[in-house]
Amino acid sequence: MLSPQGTLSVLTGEFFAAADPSVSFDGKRILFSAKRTSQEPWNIWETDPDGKNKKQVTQNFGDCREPRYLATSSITPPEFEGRVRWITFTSNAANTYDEFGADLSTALYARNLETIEGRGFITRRSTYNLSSDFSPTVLRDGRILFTSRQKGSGPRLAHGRFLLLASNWDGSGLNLFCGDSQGATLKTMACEMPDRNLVFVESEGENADASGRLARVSFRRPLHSYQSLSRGEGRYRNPCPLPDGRLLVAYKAGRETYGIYLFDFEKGQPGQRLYQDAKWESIGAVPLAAAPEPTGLISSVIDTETTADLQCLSIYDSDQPGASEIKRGEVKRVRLVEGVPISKGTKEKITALPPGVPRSRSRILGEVPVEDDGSFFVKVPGDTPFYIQTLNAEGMALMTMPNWIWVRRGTSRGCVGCHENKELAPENRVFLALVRLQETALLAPPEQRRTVTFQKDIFPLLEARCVSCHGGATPASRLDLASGNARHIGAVYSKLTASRYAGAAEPGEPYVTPGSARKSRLIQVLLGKTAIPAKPHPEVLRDEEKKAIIEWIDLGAQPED
Amino acid sequence: MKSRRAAVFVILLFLVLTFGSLAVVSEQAPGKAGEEESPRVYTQWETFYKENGLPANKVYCIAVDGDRVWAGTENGLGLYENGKWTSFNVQDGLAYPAVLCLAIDPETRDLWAGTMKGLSHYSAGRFENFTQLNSGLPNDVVFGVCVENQNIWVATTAGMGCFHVTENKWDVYTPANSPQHEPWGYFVTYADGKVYAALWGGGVLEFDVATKGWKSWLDPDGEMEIDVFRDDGLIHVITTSVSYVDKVLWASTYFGMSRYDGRHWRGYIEGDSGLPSNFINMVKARHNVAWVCTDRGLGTVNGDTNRWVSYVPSDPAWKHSRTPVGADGPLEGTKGWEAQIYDDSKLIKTVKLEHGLANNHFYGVDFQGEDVWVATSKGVSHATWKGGNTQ
Amino acid sequence: MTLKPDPGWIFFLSITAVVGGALLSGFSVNSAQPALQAQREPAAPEPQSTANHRVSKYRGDKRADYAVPEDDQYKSPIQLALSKDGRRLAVVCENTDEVLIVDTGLKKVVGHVEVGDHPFGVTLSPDETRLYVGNRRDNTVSVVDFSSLKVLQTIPVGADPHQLKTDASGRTLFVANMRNNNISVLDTETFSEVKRLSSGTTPFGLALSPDARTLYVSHQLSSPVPFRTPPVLELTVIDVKTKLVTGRRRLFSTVVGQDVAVSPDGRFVVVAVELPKNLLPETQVYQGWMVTYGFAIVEAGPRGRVAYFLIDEPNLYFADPYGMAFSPDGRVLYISSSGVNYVSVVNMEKVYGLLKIQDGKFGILDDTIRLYSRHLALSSEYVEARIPTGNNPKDLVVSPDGHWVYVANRLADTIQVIDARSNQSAGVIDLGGPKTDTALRRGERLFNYSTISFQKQLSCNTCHPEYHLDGLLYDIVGPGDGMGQNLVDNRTMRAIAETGPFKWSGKNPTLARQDGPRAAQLFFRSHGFDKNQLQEIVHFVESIPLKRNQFVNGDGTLNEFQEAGKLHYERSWTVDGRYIPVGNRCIACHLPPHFTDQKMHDVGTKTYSDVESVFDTPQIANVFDDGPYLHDGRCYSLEEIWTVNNPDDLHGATNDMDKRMLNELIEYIKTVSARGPMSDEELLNTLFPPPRKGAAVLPLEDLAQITVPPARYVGNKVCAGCHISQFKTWLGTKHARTYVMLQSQMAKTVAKEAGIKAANPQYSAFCLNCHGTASDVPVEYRFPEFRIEEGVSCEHCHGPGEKYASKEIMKDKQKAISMGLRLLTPQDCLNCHKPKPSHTKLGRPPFDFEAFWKKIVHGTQLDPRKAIKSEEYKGM
Repeated sequence: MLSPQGTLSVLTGEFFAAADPSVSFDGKRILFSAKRTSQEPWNIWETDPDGKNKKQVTQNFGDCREPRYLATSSITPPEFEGRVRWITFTSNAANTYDEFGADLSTALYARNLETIEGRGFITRRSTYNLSSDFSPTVLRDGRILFTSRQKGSGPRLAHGRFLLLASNWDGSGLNLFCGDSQGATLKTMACEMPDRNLVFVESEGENADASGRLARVSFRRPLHSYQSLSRGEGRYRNPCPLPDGRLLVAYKAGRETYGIYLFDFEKGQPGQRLYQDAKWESIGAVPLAAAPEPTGLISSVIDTETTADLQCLSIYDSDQPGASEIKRGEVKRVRLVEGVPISKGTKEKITALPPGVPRSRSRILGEVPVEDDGSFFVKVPGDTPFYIQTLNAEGMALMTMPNWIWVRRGTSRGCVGCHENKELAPENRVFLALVRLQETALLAPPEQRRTVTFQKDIFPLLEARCVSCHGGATPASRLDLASGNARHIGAVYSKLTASRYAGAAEPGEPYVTPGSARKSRLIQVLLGKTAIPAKPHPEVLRDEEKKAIIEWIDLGAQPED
Repeated sequence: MKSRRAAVFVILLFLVLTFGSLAVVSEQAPGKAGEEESPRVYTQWETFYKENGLPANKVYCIAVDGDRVWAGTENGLGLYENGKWTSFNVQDGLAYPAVLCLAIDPETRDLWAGTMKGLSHYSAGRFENFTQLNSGLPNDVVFGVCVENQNIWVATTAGMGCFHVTENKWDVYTPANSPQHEPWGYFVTYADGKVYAALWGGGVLEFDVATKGWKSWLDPDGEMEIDVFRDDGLIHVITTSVSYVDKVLWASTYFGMSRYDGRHWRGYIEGDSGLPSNFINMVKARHNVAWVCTDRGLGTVNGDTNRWVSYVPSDPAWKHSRTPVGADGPLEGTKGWEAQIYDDSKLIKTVKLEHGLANNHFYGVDFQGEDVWVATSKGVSHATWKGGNTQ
Repeated sequence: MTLKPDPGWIFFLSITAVVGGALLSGFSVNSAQPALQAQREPAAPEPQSTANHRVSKYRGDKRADYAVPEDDQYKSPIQLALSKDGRRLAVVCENTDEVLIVDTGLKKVVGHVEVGDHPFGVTLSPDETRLYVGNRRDNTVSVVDFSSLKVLQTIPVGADPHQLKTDASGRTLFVANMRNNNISVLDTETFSEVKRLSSGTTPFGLALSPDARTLYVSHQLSSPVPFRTPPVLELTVIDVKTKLVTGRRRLFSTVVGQDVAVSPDGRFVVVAVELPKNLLPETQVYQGWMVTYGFAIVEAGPRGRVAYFLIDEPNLYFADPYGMAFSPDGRVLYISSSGVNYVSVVNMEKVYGLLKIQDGKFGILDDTIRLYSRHLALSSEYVEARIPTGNNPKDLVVSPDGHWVYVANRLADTIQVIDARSNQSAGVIDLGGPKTDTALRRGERLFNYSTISFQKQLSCNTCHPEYHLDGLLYDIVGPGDGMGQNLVDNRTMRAIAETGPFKWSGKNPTLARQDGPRAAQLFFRSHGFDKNQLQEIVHFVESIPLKRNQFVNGDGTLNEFQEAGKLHYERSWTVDGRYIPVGNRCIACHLPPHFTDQKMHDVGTKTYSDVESVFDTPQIANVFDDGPYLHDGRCYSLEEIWTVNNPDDLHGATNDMDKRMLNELIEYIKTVSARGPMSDEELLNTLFPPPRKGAAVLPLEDLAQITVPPARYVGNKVCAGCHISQFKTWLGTKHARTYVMLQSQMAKTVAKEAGIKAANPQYSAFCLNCHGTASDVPVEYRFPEFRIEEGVSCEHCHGPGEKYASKEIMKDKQKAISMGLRLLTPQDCLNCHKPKPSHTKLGRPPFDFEAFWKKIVHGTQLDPRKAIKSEEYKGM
């Protein structure tokens, strides 16, 4: 702790490592994450500003980091008395891989600091992303804003995309706050300034510690007000406002260690330096001061419930690329695809994946009819990550939602559109799905949810139906699905997904375009839509077999389960 | 009577001095030689049919609003403005296509239209509809409507109603709470602080707005078929309309017409007057001249002199046929009409009309200054007065 | 505050005099004036009675219980008028019934004049000799001499006058009569009303075009629209010269229109509006899901196009826009947001730019207009400043030189002064009034602030403008109430203090529950009020008065139609001679003091989207003002409740009435207003008129066998004579309507399935065994006062009363029992509450003694389970 007089005192001497300080709204307590030995996992602790009255908050819950105080809220109906203080933090306790490699993914959790009558202490998971959610900050309106790594799609997003999402403290009401359409790919360490700007650190991920340049967006137009703040080479971390609107940052230029500075908005450079230590990196400074209490929220999450309601007003209300080409009435159904996290320890064959295809298991929750006005109404399993695909009459994906969403158990979620322009309020009209009051329930138990994999479903199909012609000495139209002595799944897989199809105009245009059956030559041929290479074969496969291939491709044409 | 004549004379004198011509008030003038005759003979008629922009040819009622004219037809409401007809129908908000009666609020210029299925209030482009389901309207079939101060009176097939517009309040009158001998109202009008209603089989009813008192006139002889004693009172209880002007009450029935000057009744029937037919749909007076809409012609009579001018087709076949003339198409060029001038029951002159009227089955009449508009079972006719007969 | 009589009644008398006179028989108003003066003298009140006049009983509130003297001393400035030289500012103070004159130079109050009850609108005559002030609760306009500050005249107008304006000459005064839906046109020389022009629903604001040729009228509530479609506000266009309505513009999907203003160049008209989302399921607040705010901009004249702009932001809302004023040069538009204490400064050049204005017309497509009306971020283009104000900013005016903006801070008793050149606050002008905040005052602020909700999106006032309602239906989403289910019509906040339970579902027993966690979780999506705040807001809501009923004669009497209607309201026989069971009479469920029995009833109004068939019985005091009607607001008129929505006579017996009777009934219902409770005697006499001579007896069919009872059946009146509270409880239960429910279509189907021969189940002795009482006994065993139709009445369970009913015997319970009084045992219930296959399609829960007993337990807390062993009723 650095006093105004400049005297320095260490509050966490007894720890092997301590980080992520966060000061309570009354300025009287400090949350931080720490580990006593190098072996033990990180946990959340709370202390007085003078280092006294330390209290361990989390235990045996993986690595717990980045704690933040939340507004006081209550969760017990009907009178919702017993309003208590909650905190949010990140943890990898779920013990599952994220979609981009071997790291464990982190999620946001909420925990009460004071006991709730009759329920004691509760730790609730707030976010259910397959990959990591991290770097939370608490906004004045009571929401948590955090960086979310999402699967994304397309080669450019091989390593996924990073979004600034905001949700209620209990994880309900998840919404995009500021995407990657402006500024750098990775935005993190965000904080709300008194002047209603959001300042954050942005980078392309070049620095392991996620440090980078400073930038901001305005709350008046988060999606269209990006502004770069810092100029020059140095690396910034942990911006944090002082009550008077000045900005604390950690900054390092070149080889020197991080120091604590006041940022100079005029010059776009670090201004007055408050502290620096030649040997230690000084980061994560927070002012020890009271701040206004954010708006509380009575949580609508019901822990004993397993389902949730989702209602979309109009799937045509979308600003996704390609949305404008979709004609009204063209979408007949939506497909809800569940993302199944892969737990640590489970034996996983990791083969090289085509770019943009994240590594995760998919299960089909089911399909929901879409009304003429684009509305649908569905009951889904709560706390389950999924994405939505809009389907045409042939059951092929027109659009695929590029990120995972979830609905907290027992809550009702309404969407204005599908990935719509977040600056638009909904239209005030009655939506057919609600007039009809016919809710589709997609509540099959996990073991009964459909999966389609190359190994289990597609490869055997090729074996049975195609190889007779597309194999042997002179495979039809030079497509040999029986290459190699041993029929090697991987080889066949890459034949379909990697190599150019026979007679393709574009070199390297494959038979299968992962993620879009509609664009895949293979499907066009099988449906008799195109005559390349030779004759169309609509009759070769049965409908359910075609459906399997369509689903396999729409879900990303994964090589193995 | 004397004093009245004197008064009239003074007015005349005054007018002579000021205008030097009597044309403007000619209908007030008794038919003296040298002066203009009353009723005057209208010879300049123009007609409007569907092809001229009328919503439909069967026109039940007509109402003049300054330089605008409203026509209620069997299929929509017509508005004649700047020489053009515009139509309103259910898609525009009208309660029902068949419009039976019209009334214009002189203060707000709002139009009240009684239809076969509710009462429509038209105000500056907005229709507001009152039905027996959503309001105190006694019944959806509204035969008569009139404006009394800020109240709207309706005559329906199931009683009369008074809608207090400013307070959004209804008073409903049926035989149960008023001296209506029949609930079936045909017509309602307001004059001099009194509301007059013509009831089908119920004679004429008078409601004094100030005292809330009722007065009822029935046919004293109670005979349905014939009128036993001439001039003993209302000629018949099946009344179709009533008009109260200059302290004189005119009542039309399906069996002739009656006039009551407050002291004496006088009956008019076909044959002993210029009345074209005993079957009368409507009577409306302008000063001392009553315009009588019958199923076979349009009569006009000066109540003081009993001089008639009746507009009828020349061809006796048409004159006497009960089927409306030209029902199968516009009366060819509306030719073959004449104005017959009677002194009491004596035909004294016949004036051929260059342009006749739309049809000889008349439903309604209204006045536009010196002009006259009539609604017929096939089209609308408009007579203009250019200060003098052209004979 | 100074003393004066309750002017309500007095002025009302003068109204009847004048309306009657001026309109009907040509009396001049002046002739009515002496009468008026004469009325005033004797009415001069005692000092202490003054405070009472604001809490007098007829308003049906509990203000008297909570109010302290200060509560009558707050000024609550609401509307403003500024002199042409910008020096004298007239400030209307709602709460103290006065107009204050503020010297804007000295920045202090320099004069005041006492006007009528609850003044609102104010305007200056063009020559600035007169000030016209509308008095909402007196339904009058005070004419004030602007220099001497004396009231020259009090002109009666329509109900609830809001804003007013004169023409350029000052000869004509237009007044918006909010609860008459019309505009009074007054001659300011004769002080007489020339005519009334019909407006839209609840006319609110008036604005004159710069050339003084056209008057525009904004409206607070929607014109009638089809069920489940967006509301539409009318903007009425009046030609000042001819005093005629020339146009009626429609502002789509808007409600709670407030102030209206015309741009100085006369090209455009703007109206402060709310753009509601009431047709959506209320699942969240985020992204303008509940409601957004902004202004409608209209091409001037009788015809043209309308566009809509929001003043909100993606993460912050500027709730309850109220006041509107252009700068003299028309460059900016000032809008006060009364829910968040801000004035927004809108750059109109930017707005015109977005509209691509070409010679006074919008140059954009309808789709673009639709997009703008939803666009939350566009405000960053045209809102160039947000200026903080005092509490609850309402009307605002701009000084002629455009340098200053004055805002009425209603709940701060100050005038906010804004320096328009710097868009900075230049301090406030204190209007006096208590400097301390009473609990009621704090409660009123809480009601008006949207800070209670997530991102400040909505306040209580948002959906309950004027502490009343917005006339919209909503799809509330909460536990056990899914999306698209249980659509409910908004309800008033007036005089609801003692009308619990609340909500149509009757879920909330108290206002504290209703305004506390429920509102917070389902509407505000915040943590709502803390304990103290909750009590303050509940007390405030309980203090909201009912307005005086304009349908009752000034002297409180009824006209002949209303009198007749009262008889229908209480009648016990249909026109065709059928007996109306007590449980199906208007008076039984809608009874004084608030005209609700505060019970849940099934009146056959359930629709496919409703989960329950029973609904809270609404208080119908001043019901004429509460439309639309029924729980889901499907009726725009009272008539439709019975002409369309009462096919089986389950909502009172009305289908035998002709239109005259129904109209009389409705005209009476319009007159009912909160009154003192009925005495037990009054109630009994009303419910049990002397039996009719030769009254029809129920024509019973398929009577299996006659059983001769031990004694004769005396009827409910005898029991109720002593056991009135038990009787009242019974009246609120389904037992009182078992016979009535046999009228339903469902009953007929069930009867058919049960193989009932009788065409009408109500005549089937078999059905009546359970749905009636004593249907199977010989006629002579039923007293003339006794009616089978009363359903499961007293003697159904307690046995025929002839022998035990007398006081002496009843005093001795054992004796009474020996004389045939039966104490209820579950067996009695089981006689009827046994599983019946024919009744399964009703989907009723299986009989559970505990649960069902709770529903009917009355008076004596006798626990019948003592009569039998527990296992006997397990699982019944």
